[in-house]
Amino acid sequence: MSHDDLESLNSPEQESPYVGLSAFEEHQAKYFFGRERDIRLISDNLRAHRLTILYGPSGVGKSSVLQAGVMSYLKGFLQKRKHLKPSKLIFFNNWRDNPHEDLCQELSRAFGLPEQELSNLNLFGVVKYINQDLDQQVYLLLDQFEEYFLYHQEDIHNPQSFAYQLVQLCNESQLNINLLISLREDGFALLDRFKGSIPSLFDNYLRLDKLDRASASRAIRGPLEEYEKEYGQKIALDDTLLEAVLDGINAAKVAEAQGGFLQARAEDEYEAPLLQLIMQRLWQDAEGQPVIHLQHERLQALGGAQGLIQQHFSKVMQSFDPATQKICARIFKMLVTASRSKIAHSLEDLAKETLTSEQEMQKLLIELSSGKNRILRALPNQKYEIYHDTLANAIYLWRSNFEAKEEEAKKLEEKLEEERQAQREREQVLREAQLDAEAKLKERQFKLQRRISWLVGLLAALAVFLPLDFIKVIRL
Amino acid sequence: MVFVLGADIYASLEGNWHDGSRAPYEAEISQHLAQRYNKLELAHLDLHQVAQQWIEAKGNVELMRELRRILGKNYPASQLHQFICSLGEHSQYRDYHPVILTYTLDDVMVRSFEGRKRAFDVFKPSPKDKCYIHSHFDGEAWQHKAVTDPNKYDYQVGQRPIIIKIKGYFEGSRDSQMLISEDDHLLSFSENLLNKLPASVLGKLRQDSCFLFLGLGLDRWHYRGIFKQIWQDKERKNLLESWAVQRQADSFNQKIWENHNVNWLDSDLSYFINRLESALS
Repeated sequence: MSHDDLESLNSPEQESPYVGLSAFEEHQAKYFFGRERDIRLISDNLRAHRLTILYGPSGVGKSSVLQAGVMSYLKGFLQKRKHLKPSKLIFFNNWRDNPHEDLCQELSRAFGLPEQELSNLNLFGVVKYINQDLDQQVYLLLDQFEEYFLYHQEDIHNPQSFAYQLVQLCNESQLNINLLISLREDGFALLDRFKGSIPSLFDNYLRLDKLDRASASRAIRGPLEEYEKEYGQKIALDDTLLEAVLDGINAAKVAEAQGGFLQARAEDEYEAPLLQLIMQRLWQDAEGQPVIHLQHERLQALGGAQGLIQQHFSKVMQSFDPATQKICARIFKMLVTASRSKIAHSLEDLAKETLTSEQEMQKLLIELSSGKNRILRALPNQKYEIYHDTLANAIYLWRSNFEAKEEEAKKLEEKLEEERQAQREREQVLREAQLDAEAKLKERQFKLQRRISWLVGLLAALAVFLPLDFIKVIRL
Repeated sequence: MVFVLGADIYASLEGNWHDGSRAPYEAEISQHLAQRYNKLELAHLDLHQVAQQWIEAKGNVELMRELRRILGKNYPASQLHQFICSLGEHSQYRDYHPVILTYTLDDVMVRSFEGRKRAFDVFKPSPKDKCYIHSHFDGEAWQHKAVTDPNKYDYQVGQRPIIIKIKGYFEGSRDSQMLISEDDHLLSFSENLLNKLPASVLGKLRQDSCFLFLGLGLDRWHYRGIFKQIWQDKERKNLLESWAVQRQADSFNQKIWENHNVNWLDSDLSYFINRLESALS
């Protein structure tokens, strides 16, 4: 993010205290609420242990907690302790291209390493240089680590590989580095690749759970209080709105409201991204007024929490072309039953049942599970399910609607085809009749021509063979 | 600040432990056990070796019975105990709420805190449950909780001082476990007990603490083992400054202090405490 971008965020017109479905970034830390305990615990673990593994369900908010929580909290903590060895926190999540090279560059930029030094050093060497020559401590946060396994199949014994370098960082006791690896719980087992090489791999791990009601409530109120403090803007929040939003993102409450249609899971679990999605929409609806009043009535007018979630879903689906929508409908038919229960399926099954290649299906599933969409989520064992129970109804209705439209279109097409066929048949009959008439005409013409020819021939013969006197008689 | 209290904090005190005027220090207990065991030739060995030999010959129950007999008395609090417990009475330490890390609850220290109605916390491993027990005294009553998931145990240690008293020799009726034989230490190291502390406490020990070593030297392997676990073999240059008060430390001890960035103070313990007290007041 450029300096200008940051500047623009400092004006209330440009800034929203809610981030929608995107992950919070470090500069948004002031609006990040509800995770105070998790931030403290993760930071404590990061400080206490060489290696900490943080895992949790997809979409639980790991990246937000790390960027807007741990980074900010720990920086503040370390800054206050002037007596400690100078240190820097590095957040890294760029796994696609060359993580070894990219991370070296990231560290060099952050610690101001001379470029000529970097060219001769691998990752281990860079950290050693920072520790020994610059006398600084490194805190390294590796986020979305499951993507590393997706993009790279490195040989852990190849010194040039990132995997080899990571093992060195974890095992070399003399280094002053503390690492945190964050990944989705479905990717936890992938860490087994390092099991034989990092003895302390599973010594210290933490699971990030979903928000409980009190934390979710703080995640709604906190940003408003902060915004009010920052800009002196008067803000009012209806208590009934708060309760309605919380009920709207709680699977158990939604199930209760819909007559037990949905599979109610843990009762006290609230989805942070959906909370942000709804509150961002309400904020957009209310901002610009002298007093920003977030009202329950407005939520109802916008369709309620469920309605806003459905609108988001519809918007995502509209962004796909008809062919992709058709595949989505087939996927959703497998993932949500008529009773709005959700069922998880493997990528392989989804590809087979929808007659799509696994590669295409993976691409689509990743798109549907992405941070901006959050329609599906990946589970352990490479299975996918719908992101949240509250989406089940919207998905079922969309799919039913899509199928009904498809059925209607099919019927219409059939009817048109029938009409086209009838037309074709009519045309055929007409053509045949025409051909028949033409043939008859030709025959008649032929016959006539034959008669004329015959007559002409006859006349000619008469002319040749009849005596001239007879002609003369005739003339007379 | 982390106070590390060794078994020799009574070594400089006057009086005889036999008459109950003070508690015995490590060498005295070792000598006593050797005597009771009728193996005076062992008297030169350290307590852990003597205790180990006793266990091998007579069993653990016999050893515990003997230790309970000599240590289970109501010994008076030492000058150091009194100093540590009274820190909260100084105006600059009004919020004094120490955290004690121990293997055996030190009755003398507990009595001193309880007597002053001073809140404090204790973290003590429970080998049978494979976790630490967190005991909180709020000035009136005790509460106990098992730290079953140390990574997620939400304990805010903040700026509280930590007191490491590995050996609470004074086990009374409320405690029965001791870290006294070589096997006890080997077991505690193999189970990596320290890693079962709440992350906030461990983080503070590893990254954010000045250590003040009182009544011990790191020439003893079991102490070194504990601090190897805390410091993780890291280069401690430029980490927080630490101090060790040890009268006439030998060259081995001096070198260890130097290697671990610990300032060695060649001083008698009671003299040091007196100076500290007068500086504070």
